[in-house]
Amino acid sequence: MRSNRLFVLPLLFHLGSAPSLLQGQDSREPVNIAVGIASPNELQNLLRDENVLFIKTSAFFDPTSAGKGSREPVWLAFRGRERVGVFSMDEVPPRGEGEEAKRMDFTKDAPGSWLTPGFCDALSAWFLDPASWKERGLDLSVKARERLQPWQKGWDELPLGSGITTVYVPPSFGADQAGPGALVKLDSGGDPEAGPGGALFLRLASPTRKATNLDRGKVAKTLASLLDAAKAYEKARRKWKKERKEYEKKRKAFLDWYRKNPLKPGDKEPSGATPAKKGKGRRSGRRMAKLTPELIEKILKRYPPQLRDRIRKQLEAQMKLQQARAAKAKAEAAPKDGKKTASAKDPKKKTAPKRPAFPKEPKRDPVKEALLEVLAGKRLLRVEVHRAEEIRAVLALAKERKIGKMVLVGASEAWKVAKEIRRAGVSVLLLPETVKQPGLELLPDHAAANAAALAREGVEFCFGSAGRESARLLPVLAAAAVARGADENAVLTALSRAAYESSGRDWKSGATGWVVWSEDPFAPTARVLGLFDGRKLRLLGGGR
Amino acid sequence: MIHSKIPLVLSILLAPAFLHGQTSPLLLRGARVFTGEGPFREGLSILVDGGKIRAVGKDLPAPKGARILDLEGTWITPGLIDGNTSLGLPSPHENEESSEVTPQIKVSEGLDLGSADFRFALHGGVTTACVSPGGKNVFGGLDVLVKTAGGPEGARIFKDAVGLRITLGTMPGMGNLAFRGGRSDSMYFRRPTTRMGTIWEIRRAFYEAQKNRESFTGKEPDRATRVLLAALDHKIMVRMTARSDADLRTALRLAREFKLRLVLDEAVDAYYLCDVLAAAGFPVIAAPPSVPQAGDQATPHLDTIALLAKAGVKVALQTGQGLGAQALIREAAFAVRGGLPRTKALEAVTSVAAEVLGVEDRVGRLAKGLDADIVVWSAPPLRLGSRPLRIYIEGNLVHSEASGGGSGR
Amino acid sequence: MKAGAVAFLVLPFLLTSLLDAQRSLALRVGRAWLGPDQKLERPVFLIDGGKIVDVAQRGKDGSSSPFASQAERVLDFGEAVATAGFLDLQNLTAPPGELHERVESLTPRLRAEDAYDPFLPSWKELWRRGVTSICLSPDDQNLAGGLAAFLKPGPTEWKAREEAFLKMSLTRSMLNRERRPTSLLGAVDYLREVFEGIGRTEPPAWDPLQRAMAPCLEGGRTVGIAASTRAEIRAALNLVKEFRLRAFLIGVEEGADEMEALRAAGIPVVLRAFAPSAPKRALELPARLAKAGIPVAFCGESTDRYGLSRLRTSMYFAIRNGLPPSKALAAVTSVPAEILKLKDRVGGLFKGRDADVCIWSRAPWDPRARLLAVLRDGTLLWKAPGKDATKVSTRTGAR
Repeated sequence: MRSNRLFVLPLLFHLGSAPSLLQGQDSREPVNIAVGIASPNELQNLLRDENVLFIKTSAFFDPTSAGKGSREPVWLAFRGRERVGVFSMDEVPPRGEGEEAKRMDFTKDAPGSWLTPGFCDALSAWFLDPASWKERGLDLSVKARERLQPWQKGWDELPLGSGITTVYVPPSFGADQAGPGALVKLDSGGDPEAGPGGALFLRLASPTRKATNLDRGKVAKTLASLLDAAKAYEKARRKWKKERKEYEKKRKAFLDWYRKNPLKPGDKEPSGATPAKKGKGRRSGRRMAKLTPELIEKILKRYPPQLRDRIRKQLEAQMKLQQARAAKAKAEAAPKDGKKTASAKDPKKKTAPKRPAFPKEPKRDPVKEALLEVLAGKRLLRVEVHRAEEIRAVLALAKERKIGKMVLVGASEAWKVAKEIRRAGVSVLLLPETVKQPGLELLPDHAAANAAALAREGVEFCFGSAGRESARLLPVLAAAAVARGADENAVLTALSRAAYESSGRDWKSGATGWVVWSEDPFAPTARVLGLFDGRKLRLLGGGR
Repeated sequence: MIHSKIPLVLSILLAPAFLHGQTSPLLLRGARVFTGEGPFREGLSILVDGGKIRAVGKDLPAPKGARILDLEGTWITPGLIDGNTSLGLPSPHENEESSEVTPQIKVSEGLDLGSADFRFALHGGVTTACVSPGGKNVFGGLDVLVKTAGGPEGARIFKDAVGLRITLGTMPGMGNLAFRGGRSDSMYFRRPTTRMGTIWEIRRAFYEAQKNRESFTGKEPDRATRVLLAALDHKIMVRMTARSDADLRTALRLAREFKLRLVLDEAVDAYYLCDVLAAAGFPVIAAPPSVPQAGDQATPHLDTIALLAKAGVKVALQTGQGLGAQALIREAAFAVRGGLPRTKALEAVTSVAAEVLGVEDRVGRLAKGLDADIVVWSAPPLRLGSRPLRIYIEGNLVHSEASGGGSGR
Repeated sequence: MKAGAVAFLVLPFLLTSLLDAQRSLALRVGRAWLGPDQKLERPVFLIDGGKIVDVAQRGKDGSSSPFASQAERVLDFGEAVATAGFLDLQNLTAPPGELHERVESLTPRLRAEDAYDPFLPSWKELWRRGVTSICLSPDDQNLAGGLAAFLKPGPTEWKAREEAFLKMSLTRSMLNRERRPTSLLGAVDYLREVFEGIGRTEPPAWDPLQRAMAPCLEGGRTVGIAASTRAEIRAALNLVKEFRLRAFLIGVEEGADEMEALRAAGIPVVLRAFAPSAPKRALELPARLAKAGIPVAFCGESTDRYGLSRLRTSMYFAIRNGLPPSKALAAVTSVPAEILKLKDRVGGLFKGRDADVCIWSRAPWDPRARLLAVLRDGTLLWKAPGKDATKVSTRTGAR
């Protein structure tokens, strides 16, 4: 704790000029690195660039590169967060004249040091108000970004010590529908990363909730009905937009006419020029029809004969009143002199357009809009399903509705349908905690075994802690997946790139920062030596 | 930003060095000093060495190698003594409720010395606290005197089994019968349920202890009897919690009957019988004067302590157990508001408290040979804004406010 | 009907295991930790009659192959790593509520072996995690809950073998408003009353309770005391000191605050599995205790919600927080064996010990390590399924 504070150093630290860190001589054989070999010119450019940091470690892993890294000592060049070059030991000359780049050699103190991307917890509760963890009644319009709160100081030490630099926080855990989550750097004290992204979450099934076979069959139906509603909404909105365009056109014509034929003092305002006050419209719409003797006869037919006389009297009185009013109005409108009569019979007036009515807008619905983003491929959808039949149903629906970006959350029985998941091209977010339920077949070491089965099929997967405390279990789970036969690179990808991408963002080199380990990151004795986020290199004094 | 952290880091690094290992003698001078009796006096210096006060006097010469602390503009008192607390006791479990008579239970056995309660008390200037069992039993158990900080934690208990707590009134009977709806299979279906029953439990326990002594057969009596006999033999004080007028008179009756070394606890209604108490000569550890309610239909008065002191009763103060009292020094200030002279109020939380608890040879005054428990205050301690700048317990600096108003360098 | 089913399930198992146990076996692995601090490369174990009869080292080139002529079978695990089977010092695997008696708090005569069910499916889970022997123990809800039983769980083990220790508890979960004691103060007082009562009277006058508690005094029967908070730890240590108990502490969650007292007492500490929410102080506790010279053990293997082995996760986090790996291995093998005074039988792979062997793909504290096989008393108890398990070559009739 104390040492961490002491060792927070900005990039411009003087270590670059410290003699022990200056040179990267190594007596080992030159290494042939399959990835990112830069030309000598490029190396010279990098060495002269003051914004470049060279880090030397004994091994590195980068899910961006095809070769996934190297297990031999290398110099890695970083500009900002991005890894811009990999150089074998003999390529990089000793520090020379005019060199501006910084160098940091970790192999001196830790001969087995590793560099990996920062790990990402794909489902976390950090920075989320504990009161809202179990909140249920949310919809897709609630954004995590608006509910984050800075966490207590020092809490970030634990996951950082396990190499976890980034967490993805949903708006809630209890809700069956949750809007876009937020990606947060643990160092940032709760400020979400800027930029698009954030996946929607739909819980279609839960291992803890009791469900009959019939309920489980409804899983796809639930999703389908949600998407149908969204589609209908989209259609209504589109129609309204079209109507609005027409309205704009009509309104323009209306205004243009009056611009050409301005009103003179005393002219009656065109109807609708001053908007009617709300609430009055209804009364005015109920105005009685103009009564005529024929109409009265017609109306009377609707009434029983014994009432007709009384009603006739009332209607005739009403008719007289109407006639009197009409006559009065006519008299008022009647010309007092010839001029006015002319203007009243002005042919221009006859062509004056009616004021157009604004089309009624279908109520905006952020939930459906969010789902439409999913259908348009702009937003990722996370779907919690567990049983094999649920997974199959959701995959079939996704294919039918052309949902491109989807992540299956939980997916306790994914190992049963790994092939189908791979064919559908979706990834899987595995949770450490699963409750045994009848009808749910779990492998021993379920999360790890599930991961291994998925890795064998080539399905992309990642881990989420689904809480705050268990974040540090993620590396343990990943290692247990290795024990069950998963490829180590696949598991490291799961901890970094796959987890990051499961938030709906595209992975760039160094998106989660970089972590320097004292040795192989899965070894229990491994310590995090340094965290590099592009701006500063933070050295942890053997923190865990 | 980084630079601003360096002093903090340094202070964290260096703090332990300040807190422990004060081996060289220390001379405190320049402050106004309250030695435990009389008013604050100017020009007094205090020499501390080996955890004890070596000398108190005017213009003391500094011995060789002594560190000199110039405390101009500050006020020094002995460490305060709280007469009754529940510091470090688990909150709902400060009594063993399976029996009404548990005189043998020692509070020290379940005390959590690492509890944050002690730190809060310390930061209010309290260096010695009497931790007492709860008041749900007739015989609650044995009190313990603890230093609120310093040293390895075992050593902080500086006098165990200092007094036997007895509770009068209705409280011991309240848990019995009433709460359980009279279920006859409950452990709580038992006596006492009334005041009479409570007093009878006391009498019976003492009678049986005496009987056991008389029929002494060579075997050592059990622990409960040993504790009761110690109380009867004046080896330990008997702290009787009595709030109402009637209970106070009962306590006096019992003390007369069994010839006890009585200390009255809380004594909320002592207002009514100041003269009786003064004549009996028993000291009182008074209830916190700022608390406006009390159990057993007693009626608190702000001036009770002042009247008791005026009548010549020895009065110490307590913050009590779960009463919602203020810090001890504030309670002393409340007593002053009730008419108690300032000097008497400070004595009530230092020297008099030490006398009442029977540890006047260790704490309570600034005098040669006593523990160096010293509090340096930023203002006259009874003033509302005063706060401890430095606190020493047995010569160790256990609390220090670097940015304080004094010139403590 | 039920007995028939049981016989149907168990008999084949018993028969095969009995037959297996009859035959001597040479077990080859790439590396073995004989004890936590003693590593042997390319060892061969000669196992007969359920015991490790001899240990030898193979040549580097594989030329010398000791025991090939003596053993009737050879198991070769290639480069795998062997350790002693884990010993879980406080296991609470039993149907819910079976491991405590509610009406009284002092029940020292109860025996956990009477709550033992050899047919629980959980035992197989324990084997899969490398646990070959356990102490089935009363839980924390009684002041003195009863005698824990040392046993090697599973259908072959019909009877508990030892009275391992007397389980006591000073924790909050022991307090019960409806019986004595209702407080920690009362708990200490109750124990003191019983212990002092024993000292003040002669054995013929002892009541059954005193008779049951008497063997614990003066370092007789081992006592395991559960204590979590500072006050509980301190109270437990005071009792241990005053009555000279041969004791170890269980839990000790706030032990980091009582390091001085723990160091002074020097008695072993058995830590429960870490919760994922354990604060850093708790994670660092094993390392601090080990540094202070206090023997540390881990306990509490069970099937938790995360599906991970609790003992191994404890080892992993303790090592991450500064415990040397050898101490972590000791914490699940030799330290518990020593506490139980069973060091001549379990907790190591030395000559003459029970042949309880775990075979791992890597060192067991590495989370990537996979358990390949478990032998108990020379019998192959469990073997990892699937093709990726190390191939086991069995030869019969070498002689």
